[in-house]
Amino acid sequence: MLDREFETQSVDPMFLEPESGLGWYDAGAKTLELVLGVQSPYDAAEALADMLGNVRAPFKPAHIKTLFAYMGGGFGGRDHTPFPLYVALAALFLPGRPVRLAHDRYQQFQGGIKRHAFKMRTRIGVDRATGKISGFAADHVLDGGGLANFSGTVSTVSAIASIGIYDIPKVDITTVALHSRGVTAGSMRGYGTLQTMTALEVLIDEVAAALPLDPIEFRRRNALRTGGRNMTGNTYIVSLRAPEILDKIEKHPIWQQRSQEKARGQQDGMVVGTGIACATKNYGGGADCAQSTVEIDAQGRTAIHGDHVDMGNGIGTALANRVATHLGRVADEVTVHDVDTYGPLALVTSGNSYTMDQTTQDAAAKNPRWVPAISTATFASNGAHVGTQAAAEAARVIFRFGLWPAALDLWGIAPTHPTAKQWEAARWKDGNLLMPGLAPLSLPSIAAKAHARNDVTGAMAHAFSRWGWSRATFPIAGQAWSADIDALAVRKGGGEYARLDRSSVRFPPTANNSSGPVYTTMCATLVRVEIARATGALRIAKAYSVFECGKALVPEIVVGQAQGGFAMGVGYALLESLPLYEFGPGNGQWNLGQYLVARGSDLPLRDLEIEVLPPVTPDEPPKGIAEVVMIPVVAALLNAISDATGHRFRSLPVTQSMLKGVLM
Amino acid sequence: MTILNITINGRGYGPTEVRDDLTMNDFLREYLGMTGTKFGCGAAQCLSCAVIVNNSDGTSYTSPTCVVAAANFNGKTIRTVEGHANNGQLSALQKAFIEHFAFQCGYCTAGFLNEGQVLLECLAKKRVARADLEKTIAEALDSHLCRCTGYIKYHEAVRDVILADPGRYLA
Repeated sequence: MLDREFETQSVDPMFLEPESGLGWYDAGAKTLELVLGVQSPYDAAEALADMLGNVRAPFKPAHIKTLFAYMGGGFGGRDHTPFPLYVALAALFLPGRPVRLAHDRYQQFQGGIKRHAFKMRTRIGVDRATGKISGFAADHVLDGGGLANFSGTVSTVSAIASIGIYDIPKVDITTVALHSRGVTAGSMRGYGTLQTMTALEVLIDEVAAALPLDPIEFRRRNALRTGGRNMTGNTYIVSLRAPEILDKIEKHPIWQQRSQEKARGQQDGMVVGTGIACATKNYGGGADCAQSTVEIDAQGRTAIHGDHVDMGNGIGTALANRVATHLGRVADEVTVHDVDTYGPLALVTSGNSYTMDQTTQDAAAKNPRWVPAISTATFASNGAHVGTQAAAEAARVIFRFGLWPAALDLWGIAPTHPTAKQWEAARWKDGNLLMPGLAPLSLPSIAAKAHARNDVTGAMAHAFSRWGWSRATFPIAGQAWSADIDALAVRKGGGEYARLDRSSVRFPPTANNSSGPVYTTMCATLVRVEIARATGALRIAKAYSVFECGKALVPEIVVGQAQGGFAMGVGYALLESLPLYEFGPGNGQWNLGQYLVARGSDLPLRDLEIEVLPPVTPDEPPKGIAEVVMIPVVAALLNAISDATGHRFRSLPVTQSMLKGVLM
Repeated sequence: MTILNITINGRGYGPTEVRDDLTMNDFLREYLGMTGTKFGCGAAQCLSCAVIVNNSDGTSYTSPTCVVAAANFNGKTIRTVEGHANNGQLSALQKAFIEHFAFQCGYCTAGFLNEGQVLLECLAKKRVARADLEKTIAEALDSHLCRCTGYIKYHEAVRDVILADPGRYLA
């Protein structure tokens, strides 16, 4: 049994655009208009309504109009930030005048949401004979800062994730988030799992060395397999590819050549070390929504509206690519952050979508307009999986009830002909619809025919996931259409949208949320570091990250996310730190220069290899990867440093002066 | 107050009177509505605010705008991100940024674009050995911060533009 403590620091998301917003209040019309940039637009609008709902005249708005804009980065730090509330208050104090509120960087450090600092004590028991972990106990204390933000859920998510990729039969964890006089902490990429899995993976390496057992073999003996369960007992219902990922790491030249490189380094005045770490991170939060509208005009031009947020995560491109698989063309227009243009769905909601009981949900579901939640933040790596779902299903409706009947008409095939039922056999290639034995049809010709026939040319849909999709049946063109959505409206030809009341619906059981996430993806990172004996200067010589993401909607963006996650992991491990209290960012004197984030020269720009595993099946749904790609980087670096120096650091960041100190 | 005359993207502005403490970033964004130049730190550390300054000898360099007064640019000729495309045609570097998915949120992109363009112009006047190219790109771009991408695709895009025209850029 090993008993260890580990501490992590407070850091800033350091998205490059400081928070800002515009507001103006027309006291005569009692209209408050706002332009904002957040990851949680619908919730921000709700928060504004909640805050201003009890305001006395003449400052109580009758209408609040919110427009949500693109942002220069988010990383969780713009999810439920209080900044929109300040913009609204500033506008209300200056009626009739346009107001702009914009943080400069000092103010962003001073007031922006921070990553929680953790103090962790962990005990891990291992059976020496089998190399199997027999038990795991941990106590976590989070510094939540001055205002209650997301500390409660960060503490539970991080606790559930704290056994990482491992199958451990007995677990006992306490976690507590404390109010402090520090700057408020909340959501940031990883949502606490970065902290707990870093501590875990450093400990796993130490256990392997103590047994002794090869660190990859030790991980392999304890890794979850497909069908395994999370810490709280829910069975993961997606692929778990830890064994495959560990095999990749083991065979990689960085790992295979670690001894030779260590010996070489000693001749060159360096110490050289190689380290690995693994991670798994849920995608989705347990009550995730997407709303989208997809339309095609008579010339075949397509437009997509979605309510998820693009902050550099590529949701706009992902929407376009996913819809293109159904409509044969990358969209001409994609609008994101669009939370208030789905009026025809006439959605209503009630209760708490995370915590409601089954009886409450069943009663509410009798209203054909009810859904468990209307719109959710772009968070928890939910963009690819959730954020594109409603658009994909809307596009399928357009194809099935718009383009396909039009194509049959152009081919001269009667609706009663057997071929008319083979719509799923049709394929798009180079803008043409292909069916065996039939002439290719161009998208513009099909779209023109669909409009002429007054078939479906637009669809508006709502999707909800609670570790499983809502599924409903709708009457369309005399048929019963079942899909993984729970609300649908369609447009025929150039007409208006009409809501289709679902004839049946099955919402995911409320019990799905009782025992933690069941959608997860896995990643491992392998790094080699070279540390100069004389100065403690560390260079990352080579690195390799391998992970799964289901079907990659935009492979270039997936790789880009992994490269960016690597850089952020390097910053967290080696560079970034904010004092919590008196000399911390709350004093308004922090800026870049004092706060160091990774630059190109800190990274192995030509020697970082990213491998994305192919999907298990061609139709495996996309998995969210934005967070998991960062997490193992940190512990891999710490394990490499330990391999190089013989010293195990148990707090972050590990700076050059600390390295020099242990090398003297 | 200072009387400012400046040429931006080939167009003259001024004479106009500006406060001595007005930053060039505010002049571009607030007075001219040219919001492609971003504000990141206000301390010349991230360089999302960088613009290109043309020298009279045909050379060029980048300058931050967040900590430099507009008055300091009096009489100068500069280029911003709005000035790279020609009649709606993107520059080679802009195309490469898009083809490589070089940027994610895009907030740092104007600075990287300007720095990359200055590097191209510098190499066109003084070519670099192929063996030194990676180091040259790394040194040129290292002052610019990006929080999304990990920098690799920016470097790849610049490299590809250079390698596509070796006679122009490589010794």
